[in-house]
Amino acid sequence: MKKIKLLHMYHDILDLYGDRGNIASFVYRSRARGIQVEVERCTLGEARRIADYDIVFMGGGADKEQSIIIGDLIGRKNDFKDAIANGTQFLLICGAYQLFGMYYVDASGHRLEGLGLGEYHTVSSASALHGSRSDAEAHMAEARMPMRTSLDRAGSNRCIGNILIEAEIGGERIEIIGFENHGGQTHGVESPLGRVIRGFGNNFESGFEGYRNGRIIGTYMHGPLLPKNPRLTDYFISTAIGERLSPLDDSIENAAFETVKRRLLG
Amino acid sequence: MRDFLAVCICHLARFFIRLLGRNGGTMPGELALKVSPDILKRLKYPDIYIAVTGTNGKTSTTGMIRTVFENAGYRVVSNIYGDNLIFGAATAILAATGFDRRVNCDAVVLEFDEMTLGRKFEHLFPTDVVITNFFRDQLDRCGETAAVIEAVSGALADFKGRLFINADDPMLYSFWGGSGSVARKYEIVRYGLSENRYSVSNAGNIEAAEGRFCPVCSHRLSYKFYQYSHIGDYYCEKCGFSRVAPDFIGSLDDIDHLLMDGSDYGVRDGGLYHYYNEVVAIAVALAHGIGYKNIVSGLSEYKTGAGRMEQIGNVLLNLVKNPTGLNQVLRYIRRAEAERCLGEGCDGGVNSSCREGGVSDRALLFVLNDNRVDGTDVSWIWDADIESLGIRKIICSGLRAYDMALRFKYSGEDFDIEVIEDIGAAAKRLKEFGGYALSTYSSLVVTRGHLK
Repeated sequence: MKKIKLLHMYHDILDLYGDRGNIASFVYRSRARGIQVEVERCTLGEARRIADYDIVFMGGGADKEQSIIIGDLIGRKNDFKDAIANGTQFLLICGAYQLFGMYYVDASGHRLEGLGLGEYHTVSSASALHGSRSDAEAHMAEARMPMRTSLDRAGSNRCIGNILIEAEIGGERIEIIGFENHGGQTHGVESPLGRVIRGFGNNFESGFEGYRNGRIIGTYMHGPLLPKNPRLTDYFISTAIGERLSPLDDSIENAAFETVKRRLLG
Repeated sequence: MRDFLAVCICHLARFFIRLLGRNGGTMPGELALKVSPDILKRLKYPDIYIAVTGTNGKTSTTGMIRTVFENAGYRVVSNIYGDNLIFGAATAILAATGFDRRVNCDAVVLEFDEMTLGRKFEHLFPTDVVITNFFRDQLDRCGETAAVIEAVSGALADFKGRLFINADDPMLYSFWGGSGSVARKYEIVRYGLSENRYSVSNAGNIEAAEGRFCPVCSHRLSYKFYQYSHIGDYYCEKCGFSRVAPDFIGSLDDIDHLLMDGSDYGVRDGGLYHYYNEVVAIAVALAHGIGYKNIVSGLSEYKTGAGRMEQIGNVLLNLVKNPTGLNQVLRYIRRAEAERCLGEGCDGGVNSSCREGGVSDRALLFVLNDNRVDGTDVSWIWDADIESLGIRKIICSGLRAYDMALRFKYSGEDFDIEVIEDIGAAAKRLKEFGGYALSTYSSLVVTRGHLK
């Protein structure tokens, strides 16, 4: 029997947006094909060899949660490098995506050094408005999205809402749908996951979403991401076992996808 | 002159809305504030003005305080339909305001949305503020919980009245500790609930975990006992931070009666969180000198608000809006289903008609909307534990019916899922089985209407 080993890192800390839905998708869609999935969890201070796993998942957290895990995460940098060289797949969402990059400047202007494995960096919009981002830039961003600025009750400029992108996954162009909610503005991504059709993406201006480098996908899309995007889930699974997968009945998945897509394009 | 006009408009708008047979909680106040934005600052308020805020339990707590005060002979102004933005408060207040700017009542008891309290505090004049708890709630709308707490605690910087806080919620630390604590001008009154037969151990719990880290040193919190989510008798092994003993503490006896200071306040159906609401309502009443008898009869008169444990025919309707609230309701359903089958004449589900093979014949309807008031991000449904419900038949409805169906499908349990997007048709289907309806805020009134 085929078997996939999955590692959910910082499951108890980086768990802001229903991330268990992503794990549930891997498990459900693998088992439906008779593929066994072993899900292991790993939190602060627990020893793991990341290269032993086929898929590594990490979710998002608020600034405080990011600062709690950062020391532990950086300590695993060489382990990450080994795993990447070994062909482990990564799905990194929101906070995890940010910390995979060079650095992250949080809402209070505090700079966290990231893993430095992605060439990009992220600056919180709340920090940007007071600091490194020029006033003119801030005004331009506000002028572009007056509705969101006035409606966002957290008092900062965040990219919030349903999002639809187009990406190349497994040699095919597919659409991916999700929900984004991030103050962080990510810049310097050389190889994005996809092109934004509706929504924001990496920052207010870029028009591109996420990060893709071989078997590593970083993205701001939660919702959670995988339940409504079965083709993306299946791509991870088929890559892990090195085989094509038999189709499943995805009528509920497709209807959930279409509901949001219709609204975004309508 | 503007104020005069604003009061007129509010009264007129309320009159016309009532002619149409609706409960107009928001619009009259909104119109009045358009005409005179600062009118609330110029009114003469009574000596008692209680403001209730927090993530969960606002409506119930406000309702209980209101009926207890009314029962004790006070004339009370309150936003009883849960219209908890500034407009709802203005509607309630201005409806009782004469042209002399006097608010004609003995006590103002208002529920406030957390960010409204945080942002509009200069328009509010509370003598007492009640904070129920802070959980993860509608992240797209409120921002992260920490930002909401900061806004509320910042608003209270110059507050000189009494602050009632849940002693068992570590997230409320910034209201009594931290850097700003020396300068605080308000009196702190803590309330809590002691260990009881529903208290659970920390180990193995997978409910929403926000707030389980020490607010002082970020170390993982430990609990002497643990009620639900992050509520309990918490302490930090690393820095010694811990819960401060409550001034008002409730306990439950063997038959779930609430005891406070040796007095029996009776039983409350529907989970530990309801007991917390009741404890603080009692604490507020006692602090205002209301006697035991008036409190007990006030509480018994209190009818749980629309869509909060509301029995309609063969269906129990509940509002759900965040994972903590949903977990509490689901925990109640599990227990109710388990106990129902152990009733008289029931053989525990072996052969009886109420259960086939250990699974209830009842159904659960989940109406999931994602309008602005509900939070446009529906990912919260994944943070609640829907597993092991004891119910197999699931009906999903609302604007995001298919997202809800996916939540049940990917649980990997053997649910029989039916999607009926139209709420009317879905409610009709549920009534064939009987059971439970859960609805988000914007679909609540429609769901309720179709269940009647």
